[in-house]
Amino acid sequence: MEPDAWSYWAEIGQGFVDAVLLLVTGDPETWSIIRQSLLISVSATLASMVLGVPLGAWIANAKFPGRGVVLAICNTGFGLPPVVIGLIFSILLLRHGPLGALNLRFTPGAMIIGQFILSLPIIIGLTVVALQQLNPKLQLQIKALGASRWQTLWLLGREIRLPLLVAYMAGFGAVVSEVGASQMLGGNLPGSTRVLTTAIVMETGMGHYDRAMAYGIVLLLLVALVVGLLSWVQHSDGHR
Amino acid sequence: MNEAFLQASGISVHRNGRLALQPTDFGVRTGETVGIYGPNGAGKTTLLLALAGLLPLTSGTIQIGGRVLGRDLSSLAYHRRIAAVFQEPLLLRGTVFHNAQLGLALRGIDRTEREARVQPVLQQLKIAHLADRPIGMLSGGEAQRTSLARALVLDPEVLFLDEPFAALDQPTRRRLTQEFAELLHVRKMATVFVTHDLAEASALCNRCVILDAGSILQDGSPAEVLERPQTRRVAEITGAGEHLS
Repeated sequence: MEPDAWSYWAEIGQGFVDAVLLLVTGDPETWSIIRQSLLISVSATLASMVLGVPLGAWIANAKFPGRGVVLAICNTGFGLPPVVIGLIFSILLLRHGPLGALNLRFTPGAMIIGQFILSLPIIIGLTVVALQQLNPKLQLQIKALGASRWQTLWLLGREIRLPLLVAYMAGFGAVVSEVGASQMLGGNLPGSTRVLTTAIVMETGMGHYDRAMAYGIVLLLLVALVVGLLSWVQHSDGHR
Repeated sequence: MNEAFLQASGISVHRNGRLALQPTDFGVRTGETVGIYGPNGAGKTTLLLALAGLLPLTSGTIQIGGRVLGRDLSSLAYHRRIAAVFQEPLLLRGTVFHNAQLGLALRGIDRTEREARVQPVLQQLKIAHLADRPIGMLSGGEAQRTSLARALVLDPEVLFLDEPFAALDQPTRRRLTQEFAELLHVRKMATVFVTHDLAEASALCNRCVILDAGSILQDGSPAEVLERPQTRRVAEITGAGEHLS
């Protein structure tokens, strides 16, 4: 191997070691970015669940003209380009824009809104699929057991708890790893709107591969955690 | 004749844009088991679901104990006086015990009382040893016994059964039918039983209603219906000629 190639691999290796050190020594900047990433993405996905699950339940059960169109929009939402959402909300949040009075531009709030919009169609779509896979007679059986409307909703929700967890994880996975909307709406301000993805882009641009790799490792660990949690839940649920 | 405990008057039902149940009168007394028999598409399940208050009526009224559903009695209050078992067990996630006690839990009954009421029924249905077993690990017969237990635990005034044994293998079906006939004899509730099997109807029912194209063609004891069909169509449906020969 040529000396330049050795030096390249040595730098990458050193970068990886430094990345691990940044994580294990509790580097304040690194952990601030991790905390902001989790805070923003978890909040956005939770908000999507709060609105998306009831909406999905309604769409799954309701019969109305244009239902197919609504479902198609939700399915299209699975592929919403984050950068387009970033652009739309950047315009809406401009000082004289319709949402300008909220004064949210370059704040975590703006990022939560963007990520909420990105994860909402995923949550709605997966809730509709989960409910449509239930036996249609189950609802009649629950009613015949003497369940009130709320008890029926609770029992049906309990039946699809695993698909709902999958929906949450899918939504979270989509937003925690997107960069376009976060960059445009948050602006990558340190200690506030700097999250893992925007930090990776910035550090790579500045040639700080150790930090970029540290954030990359955390993102990969988050994905591994999500997949591991899902596998564990599926395994334990398979016996019920 | 005693007045019917459950009385439907002139009920009809539209399903999928057609009249699936013609205006029909139907009654069942406490302690009586009425079988609904007919060919595929006759409207048996529609009649049962309508009687159970699980389908919107196009016309007519349903009374239970003299109180009219929707006027004197809410849908929820009505459903808390009845129970239904379908062809599929339709169990929810959890154990046999969790499913069996579900209706009681929905009525706000405390756990001690639920346990006290569930255990004897599980024993009657010979599934007490399965109480803690998750439903995913049950055989078809065990799952249907759990579904029956879930209904019987409620001590319903009217029990609706929609071909509850149809999906089971023949030996299990025969055994369950026999055991269930004994249970019905002891419990003395009003029971409406949809079946595809005349032998099952004869074993379980005091009365048999022949339904075709959404209309009741004949209503009588299983022996009457089999031996003295009032029309050629009834004879065709019951295969009366074969039975008589």
